[in-house]
Amino acid sequence: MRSEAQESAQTRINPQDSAEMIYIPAGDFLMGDEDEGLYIIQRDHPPWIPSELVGNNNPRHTVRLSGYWIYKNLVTVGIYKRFCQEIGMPMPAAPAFNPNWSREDHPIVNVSWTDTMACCQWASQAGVTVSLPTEAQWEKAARGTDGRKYPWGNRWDARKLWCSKNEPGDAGGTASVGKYAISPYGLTDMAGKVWQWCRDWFDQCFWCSPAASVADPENQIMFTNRGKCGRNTCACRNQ
Amino acid sequence: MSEFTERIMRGGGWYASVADVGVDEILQRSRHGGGWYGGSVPDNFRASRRFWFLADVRSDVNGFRCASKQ
Repeated sequence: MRSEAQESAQTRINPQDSAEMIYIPAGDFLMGDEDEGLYIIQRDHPPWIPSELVGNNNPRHTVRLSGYWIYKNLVTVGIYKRFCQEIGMPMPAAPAFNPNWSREDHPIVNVSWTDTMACCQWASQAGVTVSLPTEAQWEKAARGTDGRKYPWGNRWDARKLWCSKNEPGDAGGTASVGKYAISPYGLTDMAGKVWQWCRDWFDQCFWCSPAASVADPENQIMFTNRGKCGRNTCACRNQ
Repeated sequence: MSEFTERIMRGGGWYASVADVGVDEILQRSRHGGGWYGGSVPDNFRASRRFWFLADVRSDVNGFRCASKQ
């Protein structure tokens, strides 16, 4: 059943890559979580994870965003092939689960943040300027405004998304975009399948103020306390 | 390169909810070094369980979509 937001969603096509875009209206949404799980992880996290990263949580807080457009589906292999062909760049190595990139309706993977930003630049040549979403834009598009846990609601349901079910990797790779984990706004694959790059840079203390209401956060301040991070560190939401 | 970065580069990472799958399973899967080909983790859209990747890392679990303010 389609939600009210899905029924009333404005859509348009980016003529450069023919991707469908959905408009996310301006307004507040609840970002982050305060559940017990996070604290258990903080106490018992594997020793190879630096504690400063584990402690980098995201307490629930209100975020106010301007309206924006976001792709309904993940960027597919087919779109990425066009990008590579037009700029003369080789495709990345194909994963075993998509030999020779033969499944063009699957999401592209094996792309770096830098690759994705280049693709966004290419996709901005027909009058629509696109970039990666910020983390806040991504999360609002995934969960809507009511603070739900999953794109489809608050109850875990493995049938709603493409993911490993019993053993790591038993999903056998990716699947066609557009069928799973549909968000309140009608975006697809907003859980499972792949992690999704966001535009933000790493800033450990950006979320340290739980009650903060911030407008259009773009978390691009470097957190340079860890020398290995530097300018090359940025966010990937698995989203 | 730190061990943390090496593990992340080898195959994805770890991003899950104890409430959903239990801490033991999370730790086991994280030690597995990735293998979450399907994206894999229950609540993977939640911002509180983020991992951070180097910008030049290419992983078979990393995809993307675009957004626009126009």
